[in-house]
Amino acid sequence: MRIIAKFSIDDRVKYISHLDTMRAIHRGMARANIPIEFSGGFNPHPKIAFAFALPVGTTSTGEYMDIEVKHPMDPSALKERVNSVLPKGIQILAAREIDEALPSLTSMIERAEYRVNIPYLTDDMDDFFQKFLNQKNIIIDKKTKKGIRKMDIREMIFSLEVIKKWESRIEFKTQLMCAGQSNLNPELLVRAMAEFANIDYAQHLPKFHRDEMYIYRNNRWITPLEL
Amino acid sequence: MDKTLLDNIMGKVSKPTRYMGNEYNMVEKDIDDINIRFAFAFPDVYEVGMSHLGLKILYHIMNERGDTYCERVFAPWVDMEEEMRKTGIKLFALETKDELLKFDIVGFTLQYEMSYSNILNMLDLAGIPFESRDRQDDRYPLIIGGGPCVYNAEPLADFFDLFVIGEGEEVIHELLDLYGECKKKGVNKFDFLRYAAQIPGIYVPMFYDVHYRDDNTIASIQMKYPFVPPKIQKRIIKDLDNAYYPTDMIVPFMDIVHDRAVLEIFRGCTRGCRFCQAGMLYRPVRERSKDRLEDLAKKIIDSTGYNELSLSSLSTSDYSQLEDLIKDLMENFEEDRISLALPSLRIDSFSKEFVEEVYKVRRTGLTFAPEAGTQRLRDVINKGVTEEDLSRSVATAFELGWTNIKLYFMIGLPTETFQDLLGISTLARKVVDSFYEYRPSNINKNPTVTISTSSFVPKPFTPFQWVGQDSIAQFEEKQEFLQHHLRIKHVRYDWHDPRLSFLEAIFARGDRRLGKVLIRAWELGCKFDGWAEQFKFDMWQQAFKDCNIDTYFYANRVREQDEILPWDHIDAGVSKAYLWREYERALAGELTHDCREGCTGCGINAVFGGVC
Repeated sequence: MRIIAKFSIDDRVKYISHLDTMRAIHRGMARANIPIEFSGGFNPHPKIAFAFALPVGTTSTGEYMDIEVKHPMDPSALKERVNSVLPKGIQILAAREIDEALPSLTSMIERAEYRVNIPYLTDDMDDFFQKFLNQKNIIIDKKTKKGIRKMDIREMIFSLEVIKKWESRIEFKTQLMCAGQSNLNPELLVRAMAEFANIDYAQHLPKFHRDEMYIYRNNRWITPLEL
Repeated sequence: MDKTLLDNIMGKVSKPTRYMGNEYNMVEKDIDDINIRFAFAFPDVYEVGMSHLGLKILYHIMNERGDTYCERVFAPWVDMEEEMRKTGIKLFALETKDELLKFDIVGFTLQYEMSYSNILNMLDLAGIPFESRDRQDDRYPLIIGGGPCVYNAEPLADFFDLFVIGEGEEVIHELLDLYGECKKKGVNKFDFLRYAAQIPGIYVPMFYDVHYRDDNTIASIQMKYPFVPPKIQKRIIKDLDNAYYPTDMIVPFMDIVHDRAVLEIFRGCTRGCRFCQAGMLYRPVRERSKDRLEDLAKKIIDSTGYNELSLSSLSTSDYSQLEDLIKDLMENFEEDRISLALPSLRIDSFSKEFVEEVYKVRRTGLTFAPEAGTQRLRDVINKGVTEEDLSRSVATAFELGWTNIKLYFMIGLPTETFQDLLGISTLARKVVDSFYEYRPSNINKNPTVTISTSSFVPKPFTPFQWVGQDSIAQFEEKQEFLQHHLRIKHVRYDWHDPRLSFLEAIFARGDRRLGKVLIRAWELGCKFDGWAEQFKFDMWQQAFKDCNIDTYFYANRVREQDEILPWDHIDAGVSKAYLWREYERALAGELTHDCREGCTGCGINAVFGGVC
């Protein structure tokens, strides 16, 4: 049986790496005695697939995992049992069964939505975002294993809007490309904005939160839980 | 603590999880309900400290108490230290993120000598003066120490208010009870230490004076006050089976050094290897019953979710009911894919059936420790394994499909010659040949045989405590010799830095005069000495020079039989006469049998009674 679970990572544990998160959840499943299917081989591992790594330091209420269990069980029972034994700061928000024939979550997800808290880069941020998006190309330096590589991220930004304003900081919401072949880390977006505004990035620590991931299916955008 | 500031610097450092806390099973308490705040300090990084069994036991045993909240603190890595110093963040405990100055007691565990510079650095980062005499007013926490190095903690005598000698499980309650009482009554530090010194196993170094002769050896170790014992006897848990053992251990997020559940099956060792300090310090042997272990194992796995359980002890194969225990555990765990890890397996106990049972679920690397290259030298150190034992074990491993094997040796052992080193290369060759003889037909890979050598460090409370260590130049010559003779196909050779072993030898058998060297080395930037990329040997040399300390005197000199050793006022249970006898037998190449075959007269049963 295949179950999809949505989970959150809060401030208390946001510095754990993707591997740490996987380990923490594997162990939570073991403590909760969830009958997870295992792979074969010399080093068998539990069959839980995690969609797109959350950047370290980012909180989230929109993480997903794709779980294979040995025998049928009520997804909400899985949620309750696992939540009672997860470290504080990680929580399953919802779980439901999906069709085993569907492809992997990672291959279906195309976009992720983030909320980002930054200081004002200019006085009029709405106008700034407009101008920022009006650029034909947004070229950034991306650090890769092979060194620094130029990348145009304009086509990877689908929306950008201010949703909250305080005295010195704002919060904006953005939908970014998040797919197997190409994935835009919101930190790179903020770096590009800082550069566009001619401001030193390092002094303006942004806070990132991932809200949701989206799949394009039957001509509309849905969340994995709506599969 | 300014949590926003901390959050900002954690975004900048490597592995911020080291400083995050909030792991599963971390203990949370309301500090308003607490009388004693205890910080368990491990002077190395999180992933090393969290792998340590003593921390797990003491953390939970203290937190069982309603009046005490034990939190954890580790040495921040250099990048974190830099950020902390830049922003003025003081060293804090992981649970509450409160700085150490807010604590009543900071307890350091002394696991290895090369962590001493980190202790000073941690005190400095906490804003706590180094020397006990500068901490008289109650603004500062009590600084205490425990762990194997306290059997000779003289180089740290100036910095610590007291040491707990021996096993902490019982003493810690007596100490905390006393502290709690004294805190309520407002007793001053001197009086508290006076009372503490009456608890068996508590050593208050400031209550003793050490006098030296002109030749730098010790003239006498004297009690400064009549109320302290002339000798501080180590404490042990008599009934290990009924002793506290935690089952709700903290489960770290990050990949720590030993990332698995640990079950201590017994304490002590009867083998009597003459180089081994742990084998002498942890006497007598005390086992946990099979039933108790199986019950603990189940509870630990249930409460942690680990998929690997390590059966820990000094010599796992010596557990009296090991085969039954393993069979039962495997029966319980196999279905849940939980594997067993058995570190410290002896070469002479490696049977095919046994190994097949243990490695059913997951397969890990195999390390054997012949320790020396010839039978003659293995007899000198009383290792008691033969070449046939090794050949048989290695053949078994290859038959079962292993291709990577590691052999561990020490160089610089007493009486060692180049013949003994050649013996290492002969063994390496035989192991490679054995692979081609015994490998199953379906394995077409070539083997990797790793030969690893460490440099022998003479330790207190061992028969070799009088031995002079090889010089760095001698070690290097031996390593070069081995490099040459281990140029064998499919054999890899790696070795430890002899400069580190040299420092270890100095501090392991050092006295109080080395305290100033530690301070000087810290001033010169020494820390994380056990980490190759941080080790600054030139600064250590500078520190010895600045303090006018002759390193030869401490590391390389042969000590006399009647010499007063810096740790002579500590009683570890084994007598000095026994150790000397063993030293003489070693030099004569005589074996001493395992003490399960009859008492060898070490003295431990005279102290603690019973059969061992």
